[in-house]
Amino acid sequence: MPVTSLSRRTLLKASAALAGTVAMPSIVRAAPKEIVIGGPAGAAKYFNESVFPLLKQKLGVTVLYEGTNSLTNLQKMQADKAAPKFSVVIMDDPVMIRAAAEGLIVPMQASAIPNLGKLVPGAVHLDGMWANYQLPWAGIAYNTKSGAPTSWADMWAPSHKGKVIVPSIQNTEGFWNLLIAAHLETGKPLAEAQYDIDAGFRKLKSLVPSLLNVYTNAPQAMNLLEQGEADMIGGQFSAYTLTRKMDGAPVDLAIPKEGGFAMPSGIAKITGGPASDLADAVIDAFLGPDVQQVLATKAVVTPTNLTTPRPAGYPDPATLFAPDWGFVAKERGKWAERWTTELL
Amino acid sequence: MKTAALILSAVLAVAACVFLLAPLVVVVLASFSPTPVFDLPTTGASLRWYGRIANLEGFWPALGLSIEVAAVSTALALVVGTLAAIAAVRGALPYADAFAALLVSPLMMPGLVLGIALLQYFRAVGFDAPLAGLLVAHLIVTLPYVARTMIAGLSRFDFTLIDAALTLGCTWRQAIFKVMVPALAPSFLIAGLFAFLASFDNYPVSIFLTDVRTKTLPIKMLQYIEEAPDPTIAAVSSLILLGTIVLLIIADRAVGLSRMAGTSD
Repeated sequence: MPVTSLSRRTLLKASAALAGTVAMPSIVRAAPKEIVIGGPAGAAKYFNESVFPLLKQKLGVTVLYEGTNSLTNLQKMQADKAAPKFSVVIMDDPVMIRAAAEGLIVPMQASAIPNLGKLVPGAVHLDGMWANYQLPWAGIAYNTKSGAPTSWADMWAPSHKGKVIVPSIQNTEGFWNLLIAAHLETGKPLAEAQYDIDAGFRKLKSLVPSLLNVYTNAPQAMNLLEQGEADMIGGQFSAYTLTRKMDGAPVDLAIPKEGGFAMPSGIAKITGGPASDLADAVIDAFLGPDVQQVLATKAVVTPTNLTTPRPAGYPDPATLFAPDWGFVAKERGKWAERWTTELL
Repeated sequence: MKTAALILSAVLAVAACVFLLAPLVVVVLASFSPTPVFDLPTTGASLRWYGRIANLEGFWPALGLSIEVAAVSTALALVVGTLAAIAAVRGALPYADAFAALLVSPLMMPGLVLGIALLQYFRAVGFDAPLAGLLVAHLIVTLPYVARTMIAGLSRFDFTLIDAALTLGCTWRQAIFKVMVPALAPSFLIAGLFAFLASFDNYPVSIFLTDVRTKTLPIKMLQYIEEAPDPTIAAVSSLILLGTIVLLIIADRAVGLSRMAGTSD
């Protein structure tokens, strides 16, 4: 029966290939102490290079990091609600507010996370739902060849026509341009102007001729800025712009005379996530002085732990405006719609 | 007149080649940038971004996984695809043409559609093994390349040669391995090469089926771009380009590029 012997041989080959598949090392790679953290893609570099090795050394835990933007991580958390994959999530406040409202994150206890009690005022939100582990500051990122802007109004200057980039309203830093536009249009202080979004959209419409691009993906925009295709990116922040400056790119971050802003980077525990104790330990480390010291220098952010000294030259968070994120979280969906219909 | 037309077509051919290759040239040049800006270098050259590759977080596991998945899915596709091609060419199947079209149909489908469909399907049937799922998906991606090439190769193969070998004293097995396999070796090589490359650089299907522990190189590369817009990614791309060129040179020596491009006979 020659034909049978052929098919048997083929079958044997196939099953050998299958056995090889099953025996692949990737399957048995799972280490005993492992934790999955979801967070922003832009933070992956300094997390992987500086923070996670420290966590490994201090807690013996291997961190698997899923870096993407906050809203994508929120969608993943919603999809995996029944069986969460993340133990800890790192997102900006406006997205945290939605995660908390949907029960995706769970309040943290000071008994398990002692550093919760050692943070600057205002860093712990909704009775421990999430806490700010760092405060990057936002201003105008600029190419050093085109000179530092002194006022937010410089973005509207004819000399920069077609050379300005702004983040999309979908990105947390997209709000700063809307806010400052409302301020410039109405002349009201930021605390009042932040609720006058109509005025913000009016003023932003006059920025359209100056725009080179609107980004949701920061690296592409930063590349245009570094190459000199763009002069400035309004609303960019220290943890991204100044880390590129540190790597040697010809960019810098200006805090214009109207003021800069405090970016809200939060960390939270996932409801029903795996390895609950490890999650507490990792969050405590993020809120502790050792990790925050590393973040301050590697990510160029202001620490939130009171015992961590603020490096020289970093702005005092008290001088940075922090908006009503609850309002932003509630309204952002509507703004996103107006953004595409009215501006683009 | 004829000369003018020939010159015009030659110019167009060169222009098309320049158009196709220019982006690759830019990527290779940018990979030697001495500055951290992804830009054409104007102030000298440096190998620093190549030096960084080895220390990239998760690079080696991702490369290993991509090679594993590409090799295993190619091996499976070669076996399954060849058998299916024999059935299509020789099996006297009813609707053999429709069957052959069905075999290559995943090629016509946008990768994203295939990826989403597979994700939904795996979830629906409760199949939750990322690596196995990825392999099945890549088998679907690679199978059409093998099936198409093998159908073409087998339709040129004279099956009476097997009868001749049997008459001349070969056993069935000898006839297959001494006559059929060597005659089809170029087809196997071409099919394997295309299948491997199709799997190795697949992004749209993989993106839906990878998770935090199972990331292939293309997925990881996009992540590196999101982390920092520096020329590291250009260096990785240049190395992949180099690897592909080496593979093509080997294939050219073994089979001949004209045969691979389907421009011979």
